[in-house]
Amino acid sequence: MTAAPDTGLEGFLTSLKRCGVEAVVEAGVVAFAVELLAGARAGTAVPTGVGVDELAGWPAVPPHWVHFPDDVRFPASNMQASSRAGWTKHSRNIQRWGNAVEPAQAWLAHVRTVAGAAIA
Amino acid sequence: MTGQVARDLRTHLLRGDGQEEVTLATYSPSIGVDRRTALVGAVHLPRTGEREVHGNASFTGNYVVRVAAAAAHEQGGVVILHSHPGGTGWQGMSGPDADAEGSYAYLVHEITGLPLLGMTLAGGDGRWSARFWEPSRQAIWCESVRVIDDVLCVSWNESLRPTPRVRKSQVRTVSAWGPRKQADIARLRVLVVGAGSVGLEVALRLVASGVEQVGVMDFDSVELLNLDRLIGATRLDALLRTPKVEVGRRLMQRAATAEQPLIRAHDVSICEPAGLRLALDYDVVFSCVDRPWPRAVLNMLAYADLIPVVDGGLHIDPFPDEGMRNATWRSHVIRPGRPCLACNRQLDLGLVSADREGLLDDPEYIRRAGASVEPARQNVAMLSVSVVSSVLAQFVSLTTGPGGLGDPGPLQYILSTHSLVHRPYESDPNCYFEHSVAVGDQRLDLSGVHAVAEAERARRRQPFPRMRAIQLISALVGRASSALEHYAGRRLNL
Repeated sequence: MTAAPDTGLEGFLTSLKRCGVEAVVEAGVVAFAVELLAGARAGTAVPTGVGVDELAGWPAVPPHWVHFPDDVRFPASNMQASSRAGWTKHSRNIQRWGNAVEPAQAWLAHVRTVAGAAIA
Repeated sequence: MTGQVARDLRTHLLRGDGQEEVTLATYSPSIGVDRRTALVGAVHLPRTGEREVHGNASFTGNYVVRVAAAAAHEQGGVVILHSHPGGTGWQGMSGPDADAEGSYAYLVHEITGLPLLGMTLAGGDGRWSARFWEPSRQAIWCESVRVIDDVLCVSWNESLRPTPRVRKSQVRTVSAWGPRKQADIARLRVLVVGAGSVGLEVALRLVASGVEQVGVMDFDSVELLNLDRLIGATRLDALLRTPKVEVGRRLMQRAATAEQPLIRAHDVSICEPAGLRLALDYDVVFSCVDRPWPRAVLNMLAYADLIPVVDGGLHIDPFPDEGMRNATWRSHVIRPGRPCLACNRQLDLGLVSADREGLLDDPEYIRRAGASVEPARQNVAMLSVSVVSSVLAQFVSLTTGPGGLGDPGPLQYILSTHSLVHRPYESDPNCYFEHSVAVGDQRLDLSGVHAVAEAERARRRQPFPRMRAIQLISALVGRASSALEHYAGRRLNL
């Protein structure tokens, strides 16, 4: 009857760590890098992030915004300024959330898909 | 407790040789505004030498300390359970039983920081009784014990919640399922979240059927475009922007058949911490909201706090130019043992954060995001009443178990073919919500500041002087009407 561990910001960081991803928290954004397998930037590690204020419901509820440095651009995007200087957050809904054994793995797959559409 | 926990306890406590039996368990607290609930979780059966059965049953202090340590580790409390094999109904305490439980009250509180819970199972009819023990050894009797299963079984403490008298106006209702079921249903505390076309109608039918304590929760106000569906709301309500819950309260007071109905209007969102805490005072919740955030909060409540959530929704599929392709409505009870709202495809968790941030109320965001996040606006009073019917049928099955069957699982009605379908959804093995059963106040808190609700309440606090005068006249007319209703009730000898 204990609450499942790994919730909120700490849970997100722990889950990323289990996936072999090191992250830092800076200016209200959890920042880390993902290796892209497809798209114009395939084969490169793209910096990305998640707003700390969006992690209160983790892992039951995923974040909405995906943060990228300003040089990661998309052909069309619903975007706002990130709390981290030089970054922009992009509106992206994740589909069918909630069925991954390791929640961060599902988030990383989502980010890879999003970043795969970035312009070179 | 869940039906599974109740079955495990019965298996141990009701012995084949007819002797009394004892076991310990742990619980998680779930604290509402007016009510404290203990959610019984892990059962810790006695190990060799930890209890003796000799007609009665006794247990050792080491057993209590072992389970108290486990409870403290889980930030929970301790339950001492014993059986009265031949007993029926709510059980009192004999002197020795009270001494046995009470003598551990201080020790358990010292280790766990929570009051000891004592429970008795009556073997004659399977009813439970319960009391909290203060560290001072004072017993505080509980109002009820709820077992959440296909059928919701509630054991009532008759001295705190006596069986309501069947009134003349309820005779037809009681004849449908008998006075015992009526007494169970009437005493449930039922909350209706969302006082729109579905919620308002559900609430009215609950109070008309004799449910004594019904609450409605909504932060929204009546607008002109609600009047084609919000039956009972008036043009004056639209002019005054009357809170929907006040319309609900007004209509429910007139429709109630209970002797002393307790109707509560909660002018908050279930997404706000205050709204969530209010909901913890209720036994069953109707989810009559369609936005992702409130549905996610209710989804958590159903598992973490063992409060069944009866949910439903209407989807109308118009052709782009003109005409209707189809309409469907769904209904289901969300509870342990049934798939959650996300698992049964009624909640897109990916939209919850956007809703929480207010993006789904931002026309500019919606315009740029496109159709994927645009809220469906179609609604028809002639069809929303079918959702009302469907969720109330789920509630009747959950509470009365017609034909020995409880809630039927997810249902969908398809208008074009007029067919009723059992949706074959199953729980995802990794579902976070369904892994949060009975965690109570340790739930992942999905509530937060609700800017739209706050703005709506602030707007109402500053009416124009002319509107204030109309509100006053409207309130006086309402009171006069209410007084006439009371007079009529007395004349009819109700």
